[in-house]
Amino acid sequence: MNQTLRQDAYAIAPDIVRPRLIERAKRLAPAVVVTLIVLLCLIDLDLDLDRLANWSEIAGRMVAGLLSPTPGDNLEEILAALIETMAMAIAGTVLAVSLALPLGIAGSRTVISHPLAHNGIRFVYDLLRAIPALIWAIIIIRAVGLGPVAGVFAIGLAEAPYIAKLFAEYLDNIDAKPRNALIASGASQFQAFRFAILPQILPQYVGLSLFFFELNVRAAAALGVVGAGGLGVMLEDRLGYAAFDEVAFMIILLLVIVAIVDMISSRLRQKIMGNDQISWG
Amino acid sequence: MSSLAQSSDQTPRAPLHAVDQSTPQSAIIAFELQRAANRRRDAIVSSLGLAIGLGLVVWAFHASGFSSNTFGQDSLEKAGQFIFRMDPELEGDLLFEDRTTKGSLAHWFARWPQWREALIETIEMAVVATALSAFFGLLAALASARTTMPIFWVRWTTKRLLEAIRTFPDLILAILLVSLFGLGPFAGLVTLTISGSASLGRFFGEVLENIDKRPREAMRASGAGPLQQIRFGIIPQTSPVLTSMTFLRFETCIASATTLGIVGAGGIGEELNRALTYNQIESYLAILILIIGLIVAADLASGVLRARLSRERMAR
Repeated sequence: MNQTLRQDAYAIAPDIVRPRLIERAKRLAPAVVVTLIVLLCLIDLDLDLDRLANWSEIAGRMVAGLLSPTPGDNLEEILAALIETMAMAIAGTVLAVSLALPLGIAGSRTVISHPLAHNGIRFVYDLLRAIPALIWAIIIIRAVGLGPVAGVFAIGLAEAPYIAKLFAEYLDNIDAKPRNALIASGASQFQAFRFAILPQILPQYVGLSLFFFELNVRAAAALGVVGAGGLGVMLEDRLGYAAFDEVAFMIILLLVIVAIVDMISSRLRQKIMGNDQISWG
Repeated sequence: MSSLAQSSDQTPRAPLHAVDQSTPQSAIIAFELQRAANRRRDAIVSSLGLAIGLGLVVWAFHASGFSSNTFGQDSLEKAGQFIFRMDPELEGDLLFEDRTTKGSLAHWFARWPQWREALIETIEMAVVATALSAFFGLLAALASARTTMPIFWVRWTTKRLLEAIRTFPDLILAILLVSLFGLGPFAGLVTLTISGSASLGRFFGEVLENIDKRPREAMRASGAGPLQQIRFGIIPQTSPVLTSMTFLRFETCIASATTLGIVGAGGIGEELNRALTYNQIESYLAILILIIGLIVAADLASGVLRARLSRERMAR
């Protein structure tokens, strides 16, 4: 910048051209603190990089395997596992949304309006929401044994409080005017529900279900890793034999299926909900 | 039912002139006939859809093994047993005795030193991974946003790459990386960094595409180069949102980090696995409580910070 220009600018607004030291420190402080915290964490993590020294050999085999995907001799088994994963995702979603329906209604301010009870219920949902599906899966495997049933229950139990919360928030915000209008013009309670409340709720509920179905295809595949059925079981098994080429095949299959499901589901959601989509947190 | 309403909007109707419309009465009859036909067709379409949907659901439960014999009465019993065994058998009067007394809190949390280490490791993994994700995510976003990357195929490739990574469940990435790097937090850190970068890259990219163009055009008009335009025309107006998103990602990262240990990628999940392997079910409950506490605490902390950020933004 031109020197005289700079001097002129300094004469007009000294604090902007050359901020005072305290101002500068104040502005930089959060960044410095965050950087320090991150560095401390990194040092304390004790990553043991010496042990990684021989990883390049494995990496070579891995990359070679991943670049030549093949179903091996297990094409039928892999396809069966994939179908099982899809079935788990569908059943898990159905379980989750059916559990979430009463939970969501109970969590709505319009149904239970006492602030203490309302906040209490929401707090319980928040606590339950904190348990990842994988941890549910491990507990449930103990009860029902290895297999897709555990995966279905894990998805259902882990997601129900999540969906319930979104659904309850939606119920809090529905428009009461159409219902009041129907009641005023002589409709019965049921008719008012059927023609004023349900049309507002149903598309959102179905849309939520579809959205979570998309997530659950991925979740179902991952849950297999701990033994809860589906593609993950095969994946973990083949990885144990270092059959990276078959792992690559399964991964590509999964990516394709997820992409197809996402496409169909988002089309359906667009059709059902239009542009009136819930913002997903 | 807006789905019904919409489908009838989109389907073309039979031409009204097919029926005699010379008198008002016959026009009304024609209209009613038309309406009845439309409603019938909508009913058939929606009940077909419902039947297919129901069939799919029934099939899904059947294919997931719900109808087989292995899943039945005794699983409820087993579930009951498992929950019963989770009970740490605390005794009211011995609650604050030392760890050698059965029934005290200290006995229940006897392995607290190891668990504390594992919790700290989980937090550290999440912190470092979030920081790295923010960095790589910003790079990916700069390479994928229309406002910052003029070359089409670079944007396209970056976006597709981010999409592909996002379809990957964290856990599957983690087992791959554990077999590559061996057991320990390094595999977990890399997993969280990869998935975090893909997720933040996408959100950051959306922010960068929706900026106010004027500050940047002012920079360009006064002779700033492309990098200076990004640094002074784009980053200042987006940084509060980007920071807020990074904190949000931290919450997800913590939740994910607690589970990665189950496949051996470091953190509290490893202790969870150990408790199960050695059948210490009451330890399992204790660790579960710690995990829930950690996730809720991380959500609260990040929530407070994000609220403060947005308040500062309002004040400005």
